[in-house]
Amino acid sequence: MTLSPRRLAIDYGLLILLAGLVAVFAVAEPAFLRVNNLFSILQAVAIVALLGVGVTVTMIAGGFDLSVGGLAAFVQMAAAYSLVVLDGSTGSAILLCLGLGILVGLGNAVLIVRLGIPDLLATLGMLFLLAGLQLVPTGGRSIAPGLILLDGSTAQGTFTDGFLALGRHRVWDILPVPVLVLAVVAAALWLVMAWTRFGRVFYAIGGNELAARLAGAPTRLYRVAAYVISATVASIGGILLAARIGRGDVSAGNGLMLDAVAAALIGHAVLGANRPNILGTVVGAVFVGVLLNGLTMLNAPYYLQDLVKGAVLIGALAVTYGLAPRRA
Amino acid sequence: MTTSAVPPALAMRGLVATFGPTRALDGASLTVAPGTIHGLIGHNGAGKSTLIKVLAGLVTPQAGTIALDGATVTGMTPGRAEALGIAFIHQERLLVPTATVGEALFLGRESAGSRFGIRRGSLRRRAEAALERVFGVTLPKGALIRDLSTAQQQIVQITRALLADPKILVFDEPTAALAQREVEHLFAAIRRLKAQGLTTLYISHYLAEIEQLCDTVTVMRNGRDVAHVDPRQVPEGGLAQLMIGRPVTELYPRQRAAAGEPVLALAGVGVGPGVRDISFTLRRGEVLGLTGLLGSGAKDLVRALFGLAPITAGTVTVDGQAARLKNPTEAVRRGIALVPEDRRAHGVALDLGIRENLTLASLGRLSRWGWLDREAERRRALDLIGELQVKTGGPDAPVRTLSGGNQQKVALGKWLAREAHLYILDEPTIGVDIAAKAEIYRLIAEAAGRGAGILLLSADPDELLGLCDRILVLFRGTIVAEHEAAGTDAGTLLQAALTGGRGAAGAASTVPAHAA
Ligand SMILES: Nc1ncnc2c1ncn2[C@@H]1O[C@H](COP(=O)(O)OP(=O)(O)OP(=O)(O)O)[C@@H](O)[C@H]1O
Ligand SMILES: [Mg+2]
Repeated sequence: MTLSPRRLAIDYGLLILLAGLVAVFAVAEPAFLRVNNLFSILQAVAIVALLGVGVTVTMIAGGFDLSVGGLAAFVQMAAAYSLVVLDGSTGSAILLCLGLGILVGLGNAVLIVRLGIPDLLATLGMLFLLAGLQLVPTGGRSIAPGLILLDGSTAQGTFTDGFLALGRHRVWDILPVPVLVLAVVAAALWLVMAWTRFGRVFYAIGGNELAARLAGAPTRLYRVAAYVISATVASIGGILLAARIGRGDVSAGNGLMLDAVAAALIGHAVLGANRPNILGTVVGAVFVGVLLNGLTMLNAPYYLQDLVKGAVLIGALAVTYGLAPRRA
Repeated sequence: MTTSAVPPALAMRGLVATFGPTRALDGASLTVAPGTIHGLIGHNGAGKSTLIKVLAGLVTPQAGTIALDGATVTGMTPGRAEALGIAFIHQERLLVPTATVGEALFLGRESAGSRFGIRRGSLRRRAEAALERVFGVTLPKGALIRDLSTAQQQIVQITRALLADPKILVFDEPTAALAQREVEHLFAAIRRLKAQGLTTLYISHYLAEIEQLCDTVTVMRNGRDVAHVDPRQVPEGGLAQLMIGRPVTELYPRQRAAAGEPVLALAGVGVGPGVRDISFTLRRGEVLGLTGLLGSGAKDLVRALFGLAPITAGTVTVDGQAARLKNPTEAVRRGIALVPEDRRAHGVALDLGIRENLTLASLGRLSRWGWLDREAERRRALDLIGELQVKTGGPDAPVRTLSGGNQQKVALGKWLAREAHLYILDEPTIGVDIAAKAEIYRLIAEAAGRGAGILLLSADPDELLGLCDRILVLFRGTIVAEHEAAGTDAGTLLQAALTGGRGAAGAASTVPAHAA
């Protein structure tokens, strides 16, 4: 098969663009290429990429999960509450967060798979619910050590060093823990989705649920699993978020959801996959991260960020939907 | 005016249309004389549907011309085609799922139906009148399109096209989903309209239909028209040979497997209010036919056997064990395979690749500890593509890019890739060309030879007689006749299906044509 320019654009367009960006930034600002800076970029995108990976799992199964941003923010508050207000240990905080994540995933699954509410609507509802719920225990205030509680007493706990390390420690002084977590989670899910029969069934359900069911797959179970995976991954993101900022911030979740969904959508265009895929989502998140980091280094104004993200997203969608072959 | 001066109603010349590397049309031409019924045949992927999509303005050709009544038309669009009086029944059903029958028939063309004398009354009453007039059927009141069966949807689609009072009517395999009685109604309507001057272009893989209905036939092969014949002048088997390029010998396999243990036994089974008291036994190695008209209950029974609808009475025994088939997963675990009738909707995932679709039902066998053996999967897929003669650029092309018949082959191949004990095949050869039909029949016989039981739903009497050991006829939800295939004929089967077996035996060989 010959590689037409169009095919080349579809398969490698985004990667070529990424390489081009890196080259331009490296020339304009040599500090850009320093290993430390590259890992900072990855550190900055790790949480968004994680959430995006979760969304991707639901998209592969033909669904959607808008609640991941709200869930990550909610979990971040829960971690802070557990550590600071309840004076809990690192382990108990993590377990609480993962447990909450699984519960929310099951909740989404009940709404979507059991009650048949369209996925966008159900997870949008869940998003609002969680965004509101995180404010209740503290009356809408952020959580930091020494917080004055609603009953007038002072919170006794602090963020443990072990917990903070999750967000701040660098393995061998170079590799940030969140990046490591992202690598492990994304690699595991990529292997499942691309190389196992289970992943194949997830894709088949996304393609035609009835056909997958007639082929004998327990499709409802798979769809429940997709939402639980998505929520669990999002709650891991929430834990990392809490560990990075070192307190429970009521506004920490702003923008997370949109960035994660954008990464997943940009990922469609990676390597001509033309469908949701885990690796593509990570590349999508990194792409946006590189762009923002480079522009910041070149002193581009902060307010241009959303503009840039929007342009990248639309460009990627144009490749996915406009260039790729489709039936009239 | 002499007839030689009359320009063709439709003349398409030198058409070329490509999809990426595929040349779907490669210099195809088609000339249709006014007031005739013109057949268009060709193997799966020959380019028939693409040709009429060019006429409909849905596909833009790279080269070639279209002329109607001698006047060249450039830049065809769907709106243009409609304005010029060309109506289409496309191979894929194109109805809005949430529309009511009345809306589907009349929306956007409030004045439709004058030729049938249907102009007044509420939408629903006009819809009922139109369906009664053309097909002699009544559909559930106020039903939405998505609640209708494949056959009912097809009837709505055909009726809609007829109501447009077209000058040229184009059918792309209209009868694939229809039972004999509806086919007769359709043919009667086409002939009646021909007498009023209508020109018809008719695509079908049922060569018997073509011989019966058409005045002239154009044969396509690999994107080109290769023969123009009068079907009545062609010897038996001649059309098949023209299409495939070689003679098709032995459409039906000759050898029969010996019947073994019962694999499926039904006792007094009922499904909802419509299907009552069904009892039969299917043995290993046996091919059991099941037939009946639209609404006979055969489809509902099959859906229930596959766990898609609840069985409300009686018992089902699979391989000697009582089975409660609650859902398809359960049915598949028991070794049952279902090839559904509406394969675009239920059989394939259009956006996934051919390979992924073909291996979907046999992933367990192609993996270890859940890990897919990609190489084995690829080989399996290539084997099936070869056996079923799926015409494609490669195993990873999305199923969406295949021609209609090739999509069917993929849906069927998925189950042939998996060895089941019991195959339930609902119209397994709809829309596939005669060479592939022969291959599918061979594979069915082979599965029976391996000791699988086969339950074959079909509306095609030749297929039933050629392939089955026994044939059950359903009428209004019960079995009214059981025949050894060797001891019956098409007329007897049809008579039983039409009248419930209570009609006079003498009338068995002729099918009553109800339409005026
Ligand atoms: N949208 C598309 N993208 C890629 N290939 C296509 C597309 N549509 C049709 N083709 C290819 O063009 C060829 C002709 O297809 P077409 O649908 O016209 O066949 P057909 O004669 O109608 O066959 P059938 O009897 O199976 O319906 C096939 O090889 C098919 O794979
Ligand atoms: Mg076709």
